Amino acid sequence: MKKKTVGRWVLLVVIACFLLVQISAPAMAAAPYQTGTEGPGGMIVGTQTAYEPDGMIRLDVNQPADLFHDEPTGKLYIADPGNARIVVYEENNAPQTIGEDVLSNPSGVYVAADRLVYVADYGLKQIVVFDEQGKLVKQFGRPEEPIYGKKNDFAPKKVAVDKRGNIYVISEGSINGVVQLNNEGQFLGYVGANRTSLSMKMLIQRFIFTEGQKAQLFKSTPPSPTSIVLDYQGLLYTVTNGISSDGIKKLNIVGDNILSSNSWTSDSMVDIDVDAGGNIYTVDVNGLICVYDSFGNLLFMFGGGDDKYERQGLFKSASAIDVTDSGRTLYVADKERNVINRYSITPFGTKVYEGVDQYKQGLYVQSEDIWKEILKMNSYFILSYKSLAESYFKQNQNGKALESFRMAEDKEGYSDAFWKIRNDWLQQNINVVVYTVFAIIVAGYVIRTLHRRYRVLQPLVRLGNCVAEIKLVKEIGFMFYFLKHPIDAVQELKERKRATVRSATVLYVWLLLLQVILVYAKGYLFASGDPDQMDLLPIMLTTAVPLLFWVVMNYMVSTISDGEGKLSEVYIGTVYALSPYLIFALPIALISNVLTYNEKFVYDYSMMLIQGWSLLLVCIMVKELHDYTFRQTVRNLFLTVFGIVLAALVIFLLVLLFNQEVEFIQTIIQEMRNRA
Amino acid sequence: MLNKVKRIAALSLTFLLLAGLISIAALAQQGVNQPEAPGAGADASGDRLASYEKTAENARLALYVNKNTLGIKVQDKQNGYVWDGTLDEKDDKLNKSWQSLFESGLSVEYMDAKRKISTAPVTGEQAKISVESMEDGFSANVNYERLGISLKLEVRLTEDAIEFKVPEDSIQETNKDNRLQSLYVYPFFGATKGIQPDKGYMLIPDGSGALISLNEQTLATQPYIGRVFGDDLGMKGSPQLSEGMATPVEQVYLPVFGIAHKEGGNAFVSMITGGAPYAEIRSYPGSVTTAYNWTTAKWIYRENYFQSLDKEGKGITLNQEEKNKFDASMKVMLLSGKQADYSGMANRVQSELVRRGELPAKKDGADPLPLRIEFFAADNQKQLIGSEVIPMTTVDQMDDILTNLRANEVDRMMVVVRGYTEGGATGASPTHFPLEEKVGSGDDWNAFVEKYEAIGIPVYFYTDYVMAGATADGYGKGDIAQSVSKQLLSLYDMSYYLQPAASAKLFENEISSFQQHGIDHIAMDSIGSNLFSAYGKSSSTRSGSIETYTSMLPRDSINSYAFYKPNYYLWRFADRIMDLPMSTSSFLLESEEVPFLQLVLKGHVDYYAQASNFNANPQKEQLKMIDYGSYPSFILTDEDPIKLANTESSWWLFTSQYSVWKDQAVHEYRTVAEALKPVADATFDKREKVREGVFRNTYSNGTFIYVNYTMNEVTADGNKIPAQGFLVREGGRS
Repeated sequence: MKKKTVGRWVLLVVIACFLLVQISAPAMAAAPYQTGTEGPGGMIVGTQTAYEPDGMIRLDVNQPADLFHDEPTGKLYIADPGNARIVVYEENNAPQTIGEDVLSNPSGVYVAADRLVYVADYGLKQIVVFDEQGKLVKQFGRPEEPIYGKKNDFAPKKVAVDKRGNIYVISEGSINGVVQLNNEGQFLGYVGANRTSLSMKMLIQRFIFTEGQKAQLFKSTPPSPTSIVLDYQGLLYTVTNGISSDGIKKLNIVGDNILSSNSWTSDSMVDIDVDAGGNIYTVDVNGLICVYDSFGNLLFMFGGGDDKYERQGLFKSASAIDVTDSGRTLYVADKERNVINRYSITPFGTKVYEGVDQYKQGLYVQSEDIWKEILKMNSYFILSYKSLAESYFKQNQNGKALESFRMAEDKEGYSDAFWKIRNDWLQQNINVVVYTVFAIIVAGYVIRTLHRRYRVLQPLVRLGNCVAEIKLVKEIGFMFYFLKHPIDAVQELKERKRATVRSATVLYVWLLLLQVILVYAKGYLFASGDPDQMDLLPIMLTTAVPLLFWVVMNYMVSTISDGEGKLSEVYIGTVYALSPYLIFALPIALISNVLTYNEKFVYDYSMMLIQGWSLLLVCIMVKELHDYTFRQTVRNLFLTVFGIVLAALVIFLLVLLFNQEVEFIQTIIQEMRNRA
Repeated sequence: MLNKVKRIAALSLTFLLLAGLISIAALAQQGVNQPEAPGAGADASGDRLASYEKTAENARLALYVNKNTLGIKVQDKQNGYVWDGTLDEKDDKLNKSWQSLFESGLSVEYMDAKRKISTAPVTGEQAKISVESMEDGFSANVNYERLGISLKLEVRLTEDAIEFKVPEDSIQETNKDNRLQSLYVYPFFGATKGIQPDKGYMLIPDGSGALISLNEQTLATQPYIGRVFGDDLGMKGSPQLSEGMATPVEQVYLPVFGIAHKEGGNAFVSMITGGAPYAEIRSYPGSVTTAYNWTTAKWIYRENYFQSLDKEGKGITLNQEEKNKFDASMKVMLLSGKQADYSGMANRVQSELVRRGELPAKKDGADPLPLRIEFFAADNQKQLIGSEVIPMTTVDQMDDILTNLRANEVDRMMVVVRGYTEGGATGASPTHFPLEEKVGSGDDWNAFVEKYEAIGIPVYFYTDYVMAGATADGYGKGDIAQSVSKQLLSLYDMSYYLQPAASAKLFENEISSFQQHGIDHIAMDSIGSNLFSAYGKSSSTRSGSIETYTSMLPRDSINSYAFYKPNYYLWRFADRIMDLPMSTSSFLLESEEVPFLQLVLKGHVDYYAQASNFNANPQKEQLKMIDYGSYPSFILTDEDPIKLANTESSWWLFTSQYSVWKDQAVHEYRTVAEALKPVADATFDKREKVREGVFRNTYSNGTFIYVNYTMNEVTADGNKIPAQGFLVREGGRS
């Protein structure tokens, strides 16, 4: 304890002597962090350093809360709540202060286009405005308009001002979003509220819980945004700490979020800034800095926390980020170490921004060279593939575009490129196609005629008959009968045993195989993911386990509700009822290979059709097998489903208990071993 | 108060300087006063040695001791400079415990029955001290009667150095309640106070080496603490994934540190010669904790470790039962005049290592190979069923690439191949045979190796016998090293650390396979940079692990070894060193990074920088290689690495295709190799800053290399050095 005070004392002396101390990074030091970017499949891959630490600015500030880099003057404004003032830092000059006698707890600062300095003061609960010299111009508190909301407090944390002088304020705890005021402090409205998300679990809880429990659980008001910034177009950006999706919002005039990227975002972001090109910079509480392009695609990720050591460019607790218009220099404040880390861009970073800028402007073809260059430096840089794909597509190099769209996992683009390729192919080969179809028809006709006259196909027919005579084949062929005459089929199943456990097992095996085959057989546009990234067991188990439960539970339910069906019959009937799926799923999947999103409905409807058909057959099967009335059938189906859920729950609990037991015993053994 | 001290200090300084000017010679003869007073002794006058008695003397040094505090002073008779081993004066601003730590020659840390760890300096704890003179120094029995801990300290003078030693067998613990935890010997040696007017610094072994300025204010609030050879995972447990993107801090590869009171004045460099695997180097710049700048070694006899009791990680902290066994010893080598800077420290360490046989002499007539080409052959990717090997560079393609490079006049280089094992790079460790057929058959390899060996391009096969891929086979669970708390040691569950004995066995088993394929050049990863104690079936202490690693490298069957980032105990086996750190951990307290390791190694072992593929600023890195005497490296594949997207290599191997890197490789070879050609066999004698961002490097054959990192052309010694460029001035003698 004592050591610490000595250290602090010495530090205070030093600060008093110098007020400002700035050091630069050791010459040539490498960045003490890895830089990441977005690679295929949304994974984060390593890349060259985009920003290097470029010194640290230590000023006499206490828990710096916000930064603003004023482009025209190059001054850096720092909200210094610990000393109740704004510190203005300029390189090679003694720092100045603003509002030392006025402010109480300034936590946000913004310099407007008209050179006025706006401060969000959390202590005064006011927005305080100074001129450039630091003279108090005006201040205003909670809006008095009734539409502001009677209960709503005004606790400004961050402030931003657009060109027309409209003021945007983040008020702590505001569930309605950002408070918008005009330059007289009159309330204009709210923008950019977050929504509460409802998970499945919460829905169920809402359904079951009592009012009291609900009141306890659902205190979930939407979190208020944490920080804001405006770009040169007047678009408002917000970040929200504590939400895992839509943490960054780019709001258009109407207040809609126009970012649509799925890129990774931190769930503890504390500040945001944009550069003149519209690139977005965020920092989270650990000091992890992320840079996104204007569409929200992750470009770089670097920095981060380092509690144990004091290292350049790493943080104990980050609080604010600000970037120069060019994006070449970043300032990030550490509120525990009371310093501002500075970073400057590397040649690699510069190159990426060049490409991004042209991509944003839609100059795909012009940017091709830059992106190819970036791709050379990082084969996984996913944005390059996006950009190159657009470029190739524009230039009608559809094959290359197709490949690049696939790399970029842009299915829409892939679909468009594929449509073009297919179209070209059809146009070129339309004659061949027509002739082939014609030839097949003619050949079929000829062969049939010949067969009728001369029995040319007799050996084949005989073979076919032989095969058909095999009992198993016959039993499997019963599928087709089941399709057309399900009611009769079930009767025949029960009375004449036209299908057996053996044939049903063969079909079950086919079903499992089919599930695996489908993974590969579906076209890229309709597949749910890269087959190589999937695991065999889950695919099979997700099919086998529910079926197993179904068969067992249905049989058990039927035995207590006057059902006639035997276990074996339920087993057989179920798989035969799935015949439409067993027969048609594969052809449809194969056809999906030549479809684009324009014909998506073909695939979707046919899939729905065979699934619906199968389901219907299952219902009919249950009714007929157990000889139920309609009401009984419905009851049985419900009970079966309920039974399945219950059984799953019981098994889950048992496994949980068993694990607890095992762990408990292990712990005891460990403890005895160590204490003894 | 502060002002008063300052004024007194200033006055006495002026007085001393005046006096010094009048009769330097006389003063030197008296051998008591000094021309430049270090901060700690700034108030000293003639009576600095009053309470000390001379115990030993040699041609260069005289040793004085205070028998009550064990305090010492060492006088450099060449210039009369006196080094303080301890703090003599009472400093009001220090609390009692710091004061007694600084004024004591020796301190121990112990843990009492309540598991509280406290420091016991000999003065603060009033230990019983009995000093006996020896021919070249003295020995002191130190008995902490209250604690029941006693030990013997030996201090000797040898030529230009003082050696401290606490023999293992002299340590006695008679009270079961008090356990010896760690030891400081002369922590205050060479310390200074506050900000000094002269350009001085402390050297710490962080990465390539770093300086902490003594004449600038630091912003740091934390000391530097570097465990020699990195943390002991056997005690700490498996490394944890850090949040964010911070890279792990660099480790201490060579256990040295130094202090220069004034560049060109007086300096020392200390090397931990005994108990290095159990030592920590600590450096406190002034204003961190106290106003003093001090750097020292701390030997650790017992460590706390965490014993988890359940899966969730709850557990208890325990203290090591048995104490670590080692003789704690350190050699403090004094430097003066031109040698008193970090280059001088490096030179002195270099000659010390050579004397101890720990740094090989350069093989005569060996052609330097100023480029490393590392081929990545293959990796495997998981599939729905099984996995698929993706060949990236086949033997034939390697041949084509090398042929192409040679056609571009790149003809002196070394080659490393990795991922040649069945299953590719991921499945490779810890066994490296059979070979992956998709890359090349045994015959292909034989022919390839033979062809290039014949024209002087050695082909090293990449191996890793320490880290075993979690999915690889060839080892059993018993081969995995365990921590003291019986946890399997793993790196993020992706690979396991093997028992040192298992590593040795695995290598021994494969030597015949290497020979069979005509391979006698081996590149070893992990073995040099990982040092851990291991528990479980076959246990190993940390120094035992060094023993195992250094005795598993036969010289008869394997012609040449190359190591990745090796700790210094492997240097004597190394023909080449890969990925030698070119930078530091960027600690805030560092004011400058320096190529200390490079200064030590140059002229003895060739070293190569990390692969240039991944540099964000190739121009700057290239200059740095020329500055540091480091040869460039490239990691190459024939195919586009995007093919590796679904393999474990994708995280780091994001650019490697030869067609992309060919021009840069040829360019760096022509620039860096050409620049370093005149100094291929020379030692790196001196590195001086001409001005900010401009350096003059002097080599033993008289060649100068000027490096200019700035954006402007500069003139140094009458030579024009282009912006972001360099200039080589070959020396007359060779």
